[in-house]
Amino acid sequence: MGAYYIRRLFFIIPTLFASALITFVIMHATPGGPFDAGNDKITERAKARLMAAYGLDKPLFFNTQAVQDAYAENKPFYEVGAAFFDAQFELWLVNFVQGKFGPSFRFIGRNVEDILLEPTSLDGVFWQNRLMATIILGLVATIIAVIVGFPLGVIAAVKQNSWVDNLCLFFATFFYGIPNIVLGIFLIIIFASWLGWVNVVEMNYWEGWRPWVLPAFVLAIPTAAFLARLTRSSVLEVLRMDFVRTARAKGLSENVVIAKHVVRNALIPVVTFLGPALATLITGSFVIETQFGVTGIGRLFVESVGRRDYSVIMALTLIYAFFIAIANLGVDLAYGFLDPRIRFSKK
Amino acid sequence: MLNTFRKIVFVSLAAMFLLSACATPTTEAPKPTSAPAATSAPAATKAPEPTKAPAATAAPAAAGPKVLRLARATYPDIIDPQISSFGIEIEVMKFCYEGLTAIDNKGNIGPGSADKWTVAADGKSIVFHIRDGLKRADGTAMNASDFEYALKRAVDPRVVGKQYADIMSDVKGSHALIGAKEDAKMAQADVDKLYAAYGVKADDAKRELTVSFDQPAPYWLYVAYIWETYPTDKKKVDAAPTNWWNKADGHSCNGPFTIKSIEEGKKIVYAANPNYWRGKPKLDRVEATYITDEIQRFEAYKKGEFDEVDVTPATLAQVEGDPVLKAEMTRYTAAITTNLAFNNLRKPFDNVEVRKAFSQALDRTGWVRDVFKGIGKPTTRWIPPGVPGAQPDKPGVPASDTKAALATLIAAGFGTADGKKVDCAKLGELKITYAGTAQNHARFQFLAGNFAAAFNCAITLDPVDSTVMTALVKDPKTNPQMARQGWIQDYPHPQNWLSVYWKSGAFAARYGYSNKDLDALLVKADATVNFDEAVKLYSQAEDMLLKDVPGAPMNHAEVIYLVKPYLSGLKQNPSSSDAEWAGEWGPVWTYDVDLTKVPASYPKQ
Repeated sequence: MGAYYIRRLFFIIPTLFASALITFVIMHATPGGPFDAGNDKITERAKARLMAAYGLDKPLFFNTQAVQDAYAENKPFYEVGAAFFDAQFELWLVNFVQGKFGPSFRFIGRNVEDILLEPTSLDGVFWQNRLMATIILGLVATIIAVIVGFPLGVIAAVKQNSWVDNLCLFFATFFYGIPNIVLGIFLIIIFASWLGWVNVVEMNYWEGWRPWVLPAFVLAIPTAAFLARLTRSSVLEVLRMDFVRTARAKGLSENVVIAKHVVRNALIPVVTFLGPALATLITGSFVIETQFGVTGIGRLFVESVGRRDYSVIMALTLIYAFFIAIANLGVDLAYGFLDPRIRFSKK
Repeated sequence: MLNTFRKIVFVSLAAMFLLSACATPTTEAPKPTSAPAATSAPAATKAPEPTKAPAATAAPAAAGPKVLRLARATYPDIIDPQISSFGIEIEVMKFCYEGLTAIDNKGNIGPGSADKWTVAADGKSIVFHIRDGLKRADGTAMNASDFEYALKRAVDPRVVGKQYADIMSDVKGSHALIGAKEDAKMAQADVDKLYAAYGVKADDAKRELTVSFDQPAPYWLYVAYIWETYPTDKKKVDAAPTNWWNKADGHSCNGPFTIKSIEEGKKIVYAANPNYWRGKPKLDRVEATYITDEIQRFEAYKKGEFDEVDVTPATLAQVEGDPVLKAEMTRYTAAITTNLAFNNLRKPFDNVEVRKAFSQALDRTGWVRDVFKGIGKPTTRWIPPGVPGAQPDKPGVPASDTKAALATLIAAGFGTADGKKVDCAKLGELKITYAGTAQNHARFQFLAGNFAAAFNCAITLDPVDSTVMTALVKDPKTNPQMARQGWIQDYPHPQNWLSVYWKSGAFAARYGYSNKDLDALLVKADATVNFDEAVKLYSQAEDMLLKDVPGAPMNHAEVIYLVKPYLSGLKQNPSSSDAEWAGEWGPVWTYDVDLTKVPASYPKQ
């Protein structure tokens, strides 16, 4: 069992490599570059200078010109060979292996790891950075989604076809269909403009829990709605199983049957969904971060795609891939606890 | 236990449901701007409730600090005078730094960190005298070498990422430096060799900075005011060469304010500089808060969380329908011109008559009225009003006239045999390329409709990614047949509008446009030391340019902001771009707050 998980952990490495390679190819296949984005006052001369300064004038994968030059200069064979790999992807890979993501092409003078990990204010403590802001937002949203969505699903299933069930289904369908951006503005206007409970511009995310509530709630709602529907169908399926009938026949109270036998068995599809959902919530908060002024990596990612900030795109893609791989591993681990019959063979 | 839980869930759901049901849209449907008088509003549509003016506090003037709270949209990527080029970056530096010269609220050049200067009779050098007693905010004395450092750093090959170094290309010996490969590790000896011919020399004993040029450049007094010349602090830069600018204490300001704090992506706070040479500004503090969502900025302004906010097409209708907000609205033409750019190398726009015809087919009034909801001023000229040399009352490129457009095109040989219609086959494929946003689809459909209506020929709409668009327009080989391009002023001088843009090889190259006579006239204007005489020459040059119709000017941008009534002094600089906030390019040290009129929500500390 332990060996299985260690093996799975090692499988993350080729997954990350494949993600990096695919992202690199797609990114460079997209027209336009980092110094085309936004400012058309940058001259061709300035652009060429910037491209050269950041090594973006090198070939993507293999530098045959450098090989010819090295050969013509009678350099030793290992230098001629090394010149072949004097290309953008290899340079990025070498940096990455050393734990560096390289310089940002947008935030000139800053390395990507600094942008992600430096505190966002002068007096901020070390963990108050972009990456942590997004992780906190995603985790709080996941907790809200589970607290709201799961009980709703269970109640709807237990009260199938009653008005409670209909209300829950209405909730799930309605909120699943509302885009985050609409819900966000809607709640800002209600709670900030009308009720005045919070500021429209809530800036101090590191000074307490209150600022996180609205953005996390908005981020959580679609997931909670989907989770409610999923839980409902899963619980309904389990409710029809023989062991539930047996439990009831034993004279157990309905609450015990639901809480002890039904819910646990209904959790498997829910957990399967929750793994990637957690990763999505952690990584997919661009709209919310933008709307609520959270300086996180979701917002940074989308802006970086628009600005062709290759180093940031590569770094964040790998972080996302890592989150998803870890979340899936966590799901597999959870299966074993939820259903002891599930075991992973060595083969 | 479960029953209790069910009750809680039920009550929560009911509350949420009730909230949803009770909610009404916050933004009323915008009223038609030119609705016929006889049409009454539908009964179901209620006029928006006017915004209540916040009750003024009776607090005495000394009760609290004077704070200007700005709602800003986009956070700057980099705040380094010798690297930055975006307006959102320049606005930050303008609070903190001041160049050798400064612009007054009428757009005239005046003393800045230099209190006087001498332009050589041949216009090939300027000697700036750095004012006595000039200090940074921390009290450090400043001298000519501080500015020499900045002007050298602006072209230093070791400074990687410079975006606007070309603006220094008038300075003697600058081309070798600007053209050199950027390399942070370049050897000092190699840099020194390049600097040997560079025309910037400081004499601290005399407090003089001499700037020499390859060609006469009396207009350089205006360049001496822009951000590229701001005196970054060598000690701070040397301590953290690449990211000194990212923290507030990296900036040793010599401008009206200091940078008190930087919260990345969120907020920058400026405090009045007690050592500013004009004296401490009237405002104690400026807070720029960055909120991407325009509706959120607008709501926060209405709630009194901001003192100033931009008005966008999305919020304009609500502002105009609200008497309080309307009274707080300020709008003026900005030094920004939008051009329908033609690629002069591509058929059929290599023919000047075709360019004229398309300029005539362009409904500029409709473009501003219908596409921009009235925000903007239609124009046929390039230089915007307020800039020296502007001739707003004079005809520019051929004005909007559909019939004349048709006649021009037919006369140019693009008509059918009977001479009554345009032969579309002779024109070939016509394509408008643009950054494919939802807003732009509507904009360019309007333009395509203009041309289709005038010539009865199909126009292809060609939306592309915005970054791709920027890349395409930079090269005449890829610059589209037709695209929207334009210019945002760097400094209020016609040289910036004409020589920097339209000389052969400058931005004009993107249009595939080159006119040797225009080049010669601009060289003459650039070299003319007498300002009034130079302006006359620039005016002639603009006329010459517009006869060629390399592009068809469409409109000058208008800026619209809401400004709280207790703020004063945010005067409109007649030739400013003010693209970021009202009063951005004005004398910020004169702006004031009447504390007797501020609302209760105004900062007390």
